[in-house]
Amino acid sequence: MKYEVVMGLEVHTELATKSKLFCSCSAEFGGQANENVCPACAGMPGMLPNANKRAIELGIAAGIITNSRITPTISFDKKNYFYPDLPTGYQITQLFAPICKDGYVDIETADGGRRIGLTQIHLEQDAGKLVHSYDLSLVDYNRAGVPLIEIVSKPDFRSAEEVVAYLEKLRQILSFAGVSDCRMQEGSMRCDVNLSVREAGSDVLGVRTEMKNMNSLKAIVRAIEYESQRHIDALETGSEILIQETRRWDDNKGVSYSMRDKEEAADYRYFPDPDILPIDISDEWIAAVKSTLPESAGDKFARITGQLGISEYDAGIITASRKLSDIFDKLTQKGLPPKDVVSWIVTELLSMDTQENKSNDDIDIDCDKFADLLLLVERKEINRNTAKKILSLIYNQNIDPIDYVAQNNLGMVSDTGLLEGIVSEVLAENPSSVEQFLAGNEKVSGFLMGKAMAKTAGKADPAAVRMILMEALGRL
Amino acid sequence: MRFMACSNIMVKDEISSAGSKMLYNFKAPFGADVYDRCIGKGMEFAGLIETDEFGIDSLFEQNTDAAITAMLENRCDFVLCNDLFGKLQRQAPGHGLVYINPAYGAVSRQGLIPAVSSMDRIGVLCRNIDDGCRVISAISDGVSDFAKEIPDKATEYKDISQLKYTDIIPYVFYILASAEISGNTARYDGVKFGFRAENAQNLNEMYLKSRTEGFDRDTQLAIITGCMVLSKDNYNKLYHKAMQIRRLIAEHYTRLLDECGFLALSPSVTGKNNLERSVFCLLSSLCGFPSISMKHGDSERLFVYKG
Repeated sequence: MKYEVVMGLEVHTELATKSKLFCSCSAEFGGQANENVCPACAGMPGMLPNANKRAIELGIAAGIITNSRITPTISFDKKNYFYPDLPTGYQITQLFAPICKDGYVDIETADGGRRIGLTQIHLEQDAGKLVHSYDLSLVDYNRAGVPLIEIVSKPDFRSAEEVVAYLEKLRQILSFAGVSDCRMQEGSMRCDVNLSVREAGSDVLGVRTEMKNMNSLKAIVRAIEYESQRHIDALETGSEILIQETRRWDDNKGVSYSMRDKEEAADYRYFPDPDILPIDISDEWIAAVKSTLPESAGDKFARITGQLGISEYDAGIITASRKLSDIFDKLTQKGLPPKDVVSWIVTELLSMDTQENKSNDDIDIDCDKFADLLLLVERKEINRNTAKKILSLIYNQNIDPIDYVAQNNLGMVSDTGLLEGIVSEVLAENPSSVEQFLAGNEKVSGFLMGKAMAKTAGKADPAAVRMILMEALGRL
Repeated sequence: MRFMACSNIMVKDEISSAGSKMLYNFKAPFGADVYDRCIGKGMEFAGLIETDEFGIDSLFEQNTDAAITAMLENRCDFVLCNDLFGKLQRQAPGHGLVYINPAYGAVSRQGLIPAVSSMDRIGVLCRNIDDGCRVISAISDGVSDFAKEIPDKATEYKDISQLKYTDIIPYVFYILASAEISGNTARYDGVKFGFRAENAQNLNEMYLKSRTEGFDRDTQLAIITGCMVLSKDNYNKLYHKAMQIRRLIAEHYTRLLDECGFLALSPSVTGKNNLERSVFCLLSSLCGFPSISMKHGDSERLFVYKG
């Protein structure tokens, strides 16, 4: 029997706002526990929610880049359930009039392109975080009230590969538009997978389970493989009866397990939140948001491969990461040649940190200093080798390249008179090498070149040294 | 003027319990806007008064409200209250007092411990219309001059056939009120602040015991009813239907008020329970109409305005 796996995704991603969805507390990740908490997001009575305009604009932006329809009048609803990380006993979310509907995202896999439909995108509050230690459970409400969007796809996925391609695409378009920084490890992007299995060719869906708690792309792939096999085994051997339920993925053990019994099936008792008036989203507002969106990853790829002549391979690396893309923009804006910038980013900057689990979005470097460094190379004030060493110092110790070059006397030696003197010395000190060269062994010029560079402590302009050396040898 | 406030109106650093064991130790972290405004106008605060838990009236009991007693004992010139069930409006005229409800939204709810967000509003229990208007002007942004619209007592009241929906108003009110109460009281779970029951073996038991011991009967009844009307099986039949009827009621009475300027109704009528007795007060709560309950000539009157 052949089987087909059918999956739909619910992706939660934190919006890149400065403050929370309904109060003015900082939405920043990290910090001391319960540092960014006020009476409103701690669930004290007597506080009224105030919708964050920026969060709504980022919701509109998410709709624009996913080809969605933006709802003309949105409203917020209460979703009621008890859990210690939920300070008010209800989550403010959108059930009846979500901000976006009917969008799609195009993905590429080895099997070609596919279009993934989106049912809706809605805005909601994040919950706090429980920290368990021994017999204690502690709650940190810093995250409580941070704005999220939940992107709900149609059941359009047929393989783990498609799921990964979709998540990478979402991360790319959302981070480029500045909607979210989409960091899975920090929990700012989370994904639930709804999965069912049916006989290939059937148009009836099988029993669906929802899996939560996958914290990386790898974990998602493993969870999908495990859960598909569990369903197939159940169908083939009847070893267990599948029920519609929520399951938790345990990545250490590599298994999923049931989260709650059917008796406790949640009834969230949604109803419109009377504390928040409906909000109109005019066409003008949508147009204004659209006009502020930065260049998309796709447009950027087309532009830098077309106009700037960057290779598709390099352009792919640059546009896969918002961070690299921003670095590229900042350096080229300073007048540095795009091809040189790409080469410095792809071959030098990316080799600075090869630690595991570091993504290109984790790279952190002062772009002004990076630009100063490349300008020094561009103006031939230092040579490339010196520059590589300084790049590492900027990356790791944030030194100032201009000061550093001056203090350590690393300026490139390109004074012709001085270099001619050095070349003469080298020739006089290495008569046997000179003889070999004259006898036709031209490789020896490399050895002589090295000797000359060493005499300048590596600071000479290699092109100038080579020219003077070859001229001198030619005159012999 | 000296004023008191029901304990569901938060006063910074005072125990603002909203009459609930759940909040027996809740020291308000900030003060309600209305409190700050009154103090800003040079009024003198004379203390908080116990209230029915979260302002939820008992369905059957008819005890005299503590705010009425405070006025009769001359402890202050007015009391700030949230009379969404109409208890104070029923009782005030009989004691020679006046209760004034501003239009919904005219007075800030910031710092009012919520019961029914779509109907909560801070009103004034006072001795006469002039005092009441002065207070409403102080706590809202507009100037209130209800007195001008109080009719001469010779005015005829006519055509009561236009008073529609009176049989269902109490129950539409209770369905919507209980739903919102269930949401607004969900935060009292014993986890973060307020009352926490002892000797719970696990989280679920802690929730159950804290909420069972912390809420009184009428609140528990409202929470259970609210959860029921919002449940998947009942949402469309009860909650959603009640919302639709509320709209019909509001449309009908708005039209009526457009025609006649104000309605002179009765704050307390005969009924099987306090909801039915309060029917016209609940009309004002459901639609957010401003109203005044007072003795007018020999009658107890509830004047309802469009706002």
